[in-house]
Amino acid sequence: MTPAVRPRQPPRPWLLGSIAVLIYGFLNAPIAVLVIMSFNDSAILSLPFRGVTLDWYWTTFGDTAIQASLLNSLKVAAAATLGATTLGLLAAFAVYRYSFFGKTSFRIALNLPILLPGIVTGVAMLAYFSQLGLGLSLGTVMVGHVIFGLPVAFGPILARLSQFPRSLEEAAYDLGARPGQVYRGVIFPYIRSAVIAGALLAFTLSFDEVVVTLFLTGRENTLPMEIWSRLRTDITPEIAAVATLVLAASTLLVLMSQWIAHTDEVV
Amino acid sequence: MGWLAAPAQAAGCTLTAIVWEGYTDPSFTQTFEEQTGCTVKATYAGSSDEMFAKFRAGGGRNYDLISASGDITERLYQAGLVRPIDASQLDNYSAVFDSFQNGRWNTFDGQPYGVTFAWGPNVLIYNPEAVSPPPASWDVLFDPEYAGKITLPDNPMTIADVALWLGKPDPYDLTSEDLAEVKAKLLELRPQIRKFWATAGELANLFQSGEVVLAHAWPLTYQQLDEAGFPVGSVSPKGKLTGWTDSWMIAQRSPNADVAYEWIDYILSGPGQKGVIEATGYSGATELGTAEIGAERAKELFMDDLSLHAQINMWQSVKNYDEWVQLWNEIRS
Amino acid sequence: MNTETMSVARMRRRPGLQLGLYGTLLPPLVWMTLLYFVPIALLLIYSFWRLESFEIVQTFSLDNFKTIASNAAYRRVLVRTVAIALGVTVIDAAIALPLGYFITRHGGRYRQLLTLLVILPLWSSYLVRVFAWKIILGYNGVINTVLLSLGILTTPSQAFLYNSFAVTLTFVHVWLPFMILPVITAFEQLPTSLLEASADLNARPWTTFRRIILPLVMPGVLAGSINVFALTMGDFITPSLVGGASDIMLGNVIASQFGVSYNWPLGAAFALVVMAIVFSGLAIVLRRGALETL
Repeated sequence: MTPAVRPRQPPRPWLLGSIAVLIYGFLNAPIAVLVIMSFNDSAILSLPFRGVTLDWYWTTFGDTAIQASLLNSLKVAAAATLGATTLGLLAAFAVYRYSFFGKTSFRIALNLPILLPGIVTGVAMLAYFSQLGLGLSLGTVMVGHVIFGLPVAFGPILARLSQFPRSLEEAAYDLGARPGQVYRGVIFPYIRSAVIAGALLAFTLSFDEVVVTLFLTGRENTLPMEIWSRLRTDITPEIAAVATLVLAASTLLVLMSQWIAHTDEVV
Repeated sequence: MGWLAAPAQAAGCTLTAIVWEGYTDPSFTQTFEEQTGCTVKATYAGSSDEMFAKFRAGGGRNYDLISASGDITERLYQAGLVRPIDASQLDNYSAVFDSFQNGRWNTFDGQPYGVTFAWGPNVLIYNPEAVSPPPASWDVLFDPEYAGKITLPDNPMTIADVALWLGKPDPYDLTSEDLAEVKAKLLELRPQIRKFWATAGELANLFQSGEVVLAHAWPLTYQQLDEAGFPVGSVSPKGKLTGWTDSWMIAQRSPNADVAYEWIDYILSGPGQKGVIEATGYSGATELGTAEIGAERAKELFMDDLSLHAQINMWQSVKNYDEWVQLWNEIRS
Repeated sequence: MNTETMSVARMRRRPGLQLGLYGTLLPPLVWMTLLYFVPIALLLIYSFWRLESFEIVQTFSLDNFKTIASNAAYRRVLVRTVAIALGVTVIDAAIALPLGYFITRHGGRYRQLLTLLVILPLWSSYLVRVFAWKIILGYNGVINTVLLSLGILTTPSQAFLYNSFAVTLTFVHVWLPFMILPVITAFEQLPTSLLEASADLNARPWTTFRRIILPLVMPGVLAGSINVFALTMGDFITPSLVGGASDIMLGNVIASQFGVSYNWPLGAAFALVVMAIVFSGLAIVLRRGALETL
């Protein structure tokens, strides 16, 4: 008889584990550096570390230009998210529900703004708006953000829709529900989490977008544009403080939304 | 309701400008804003080309004002982006130095299209703690001791400086052969260069973080670093200086021309001139400015006899500028 | 169920069919056409125009493409950009694979938290993250400070910042989440039973990885790759912040033609070159069937 073959043990996770720790270190080290530098009691954004101060945070809280640009960024991101999610939802429905000529091309074409580099979108729209004689403003920035936000929302919604059991919908119709009722009562609850995920991603990307915005912005700055102009003129640890605050706020928001989603599921 | 209308109107008044760094420094801009109730919203440009491109991009509608140097004034005029200056709207125009009124850098077709308000040389700036003895000529940039510690402006106009180092008589009129020589010289210099600086803010950061010790730069950087308590020295090698004469020009399509005139008038005034001079370290352009800063300071800045102004090879439009840009791209690639 | 009720159900839906199709398809289609496809087409047209003494001349010519092809400097930039983009993509894939495997296989109940930690850097400003590398790699930077205090160096080294190493490293960092996320998704869909079967059949871990895991997570890697490749191909922020005297990339050239030189036609031609390169990358990816994960 042949000796019994012992199944191999899974590879020891310690090696993989230490690689993972290194990768996490690499990913988050620059963030840690930023947070530390935001407390640096020095006029320049560079080592050596000269002691702990909260001055840069007080400067930020009193900085009207930063506040105005933050408000602009929130406006742009909110409008762009609304537009992108609505259009992405419609497009996902069209692809999911109907067959029409050029459907595959339509899907690929919708994804172009995120498949092609942002600079292509930026310069193309700049050339277009200038050809039309349209001035640049926060409005043009919003339009640009909807363009790349659309595929960002479209992707997860379509993925979720494709898993939707058609029989549920048929059953609802058989029970005499009208299309609007079917959508509200059956389909939307099923895809809601994907819609939220898509919207959240579109918002995040819009809020921090640099390249498209640089080409489409007029007189008013978004937060990244304000930071960009500071990086060109007046580089102080205040920039690190701003980045730290943004990081803290978004972490808090995401944790909250995770918590809400969690309790949602339990209920 | 009159009490409500007046401040509302004032609050709605915004002057937008694209300028060199320091030209709308809050230290003196605030006074103007308080006096007129208007807000000055400025974009800083890193180079003349950027200024021109940005000014033009919005069809000339994005900005009311531009602080144009002599190399783009003609370009702006020819593109129809700026309007003639009506000197009668400026109370302080008569105070502008005589030789600067109708200067050839901003007068076209016999009409002034800009108002000269500041000028200065491009200088050699160094960190005295790292560079000794104090340098006397541009040759120090080629010194192997400072390899990797040097920065130059990321701007094709730097070609004019290199042409001067090579002894070309007119650094703005270069033949293809001249340009080939300049290219060879720049390629020789390139290994010495740590980084090309794009804006004064970036340049100050390069010094402060210890990355560079020698720079081809504007006096502004000397002023900024000195104010920040950072050790800094400045040299202007005789006979080998380029520089600029800056004019305010008003956009053809500016909706706020009245406010633009008010701003220009303010900058020509004593306090306005003093503000620009103190923020940037550049020389002023009006008698009112000379009076305001005092004879001693005016002498330092060559505002009393303008002998330095005559010595400097001021930036001017370059005929074969596309060749210059091409050369610069090759250096940068 | 009798045939009558079924036909009633069908009839109820039929009149809405055309309306529903147009109602859902037209808004996104019209929006994208008017504000994206037409601008892209305009960019194509622009690339055949040219600039003469600061004026855009609207006549057809191939001048811009000739300039790009004949100019040694531009060719260098092109080659450098593609090389860096490929390098960054490969490095990111090599980092994402073990991490994706670790998170899905050993993450346990911390899986969500571990994924969250990957996305975390995306929530601080992109510009500031790039700048952070200047603080780490610079002359007075974190690395130099550490090496000096350990006595490994006696004077700070200038070898870390303002060169193509710094550019590559920064790209690898800022785009890494865009590679890891699709890779994690791919690992999540990997049936554990297959791995166990492979182990049961006495395959060595490396063999299991190469023969079983890699082919199955490949769509995720390819989707991540196209993200990272395209993002790198078009970026100009990173080279201008951490690159040296001669590290500019295609993005810088495009940005400067549009922002500084006002040579929009040449900039448009360069943008088309970038598009063409990304499209050929995309074609390779699509042929390998990664569209479903897009």
